[in-house]
Amino acid sequence: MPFNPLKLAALLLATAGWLGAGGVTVTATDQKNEAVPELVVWLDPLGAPVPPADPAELAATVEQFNEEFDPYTIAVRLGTKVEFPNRDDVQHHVYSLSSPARFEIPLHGGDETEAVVMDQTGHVPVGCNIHDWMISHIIVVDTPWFGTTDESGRLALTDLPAGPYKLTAWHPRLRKTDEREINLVAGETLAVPVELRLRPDRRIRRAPTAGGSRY
Amino acid sequence: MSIRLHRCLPLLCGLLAGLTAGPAVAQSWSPEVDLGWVHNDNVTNSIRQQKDDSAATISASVQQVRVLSRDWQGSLKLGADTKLWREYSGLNLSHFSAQAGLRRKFGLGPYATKLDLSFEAFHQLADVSEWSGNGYRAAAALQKRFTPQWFGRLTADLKRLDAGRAVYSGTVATLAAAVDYDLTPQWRVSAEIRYGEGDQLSWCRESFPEFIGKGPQWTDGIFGGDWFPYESDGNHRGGHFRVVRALGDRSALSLGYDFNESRAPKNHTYRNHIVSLNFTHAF
Repeated sequence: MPFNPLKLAALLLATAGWLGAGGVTVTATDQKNEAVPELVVWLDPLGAPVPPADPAELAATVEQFNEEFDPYTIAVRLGTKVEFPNRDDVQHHVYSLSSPARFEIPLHGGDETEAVVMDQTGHVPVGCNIHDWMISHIIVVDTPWFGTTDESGRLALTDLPAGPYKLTAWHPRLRKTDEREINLVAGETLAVPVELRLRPDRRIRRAPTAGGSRY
Repeated sequence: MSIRLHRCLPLLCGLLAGLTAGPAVAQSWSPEVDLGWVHNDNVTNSIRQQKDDSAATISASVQQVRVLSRDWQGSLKLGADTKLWREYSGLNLSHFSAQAGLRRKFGLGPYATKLDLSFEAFHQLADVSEWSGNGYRAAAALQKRFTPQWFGRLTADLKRLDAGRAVYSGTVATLAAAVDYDLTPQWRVSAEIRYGEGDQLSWCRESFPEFIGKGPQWTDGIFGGDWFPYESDGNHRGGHFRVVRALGDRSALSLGYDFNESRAPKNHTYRNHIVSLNFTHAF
């Protein structure tokens, strides 16, 4: 069997992580002390290498359903193939004009799935050229430790090697990313409260415009 | 100005055939209903002895949008609407309409300019049978979103009705500019100014000074007595202001105020102040 340095590194890091794993629980609130769901959080190790990605895990899905993207925010690892299945019976035209991933998936109908490989880190806003209110935010990160907060504003990341990390939080309503350094201790779960000042929700409105007199 | 409906039928048929025969996948029909109340302080469109009334409005439509290419969309809309006046039931009008539309989007994304062209053929039913007839409406709209909150549009509109009696027939061309601003994701304010030229339908009395000595007129009985309809060629200026509250993603409640001033020759000017309340639901 030929020697594969990547597999060896992954094995060593996995073993190190198993020997000294820690965890972190993020609880996000806004200026009104209300939970912040859909907050993207990721951890970059400081002074330690990032473990290589398992190709089988480099897959994610952003659905089009009920003329909305689902999820609204998602974090994926660098190199992830993001599929955009259309669950509607209307056509969508998915696109992004962002620097990390500029693409168009033109005019796909129901039950058609197209995919894009995210090969640069950064923020990839995705829209539909037919339905202007549809938007999803893909954050491409070069770390295996990421996720989004649930309805209660919580996110738990487990089985991380002990050590220092930079914790980054991103949300469409934040002016800039929230960053802080944390230190994980083996066998312990660190609670990190994240208090954010969110801007007003400025998504394009979907509701119909009522009114109009024919007289 | 008179363009007969039958001359536009080939264009409408061509648009419909293009929409139904296109390569795009089948799209679902999107129904929408609107229930409303409207009050007009001058339903006679008269310069004196104005009469006011309120009406219930109901409209329903189904629309199918077909994506023809990245930049082009076609649409087909079938609709019906009716307006039922509380006191002057002779003003009651219902419409059955078919509209074909074509949209050109100049680029990708929500901020790309859109040009909408539409042609609508309709049949009008009136309590006063002579007011029933066929008509069409051709419209062009240039729309632009500037920010997620600001949206603007310029529209040009030509509407023609050929009714059973000439006095009810007419053509009106209107230009309008409008902006929407979303104060929050739920609250929107809209404002529009417009200018139009064309035929104006009004009612007045034989006893009005302008008509004394002109002999008996044909009366339609809508306002009783010696009120009769007449038509004049003039211009219209007006606008509206509307506050719209979104109720979820598919419903909205709207409170609007419309102002209209119509000027006919000899400085015959009348004004309308119209208040309306509407609930719209898109299924």
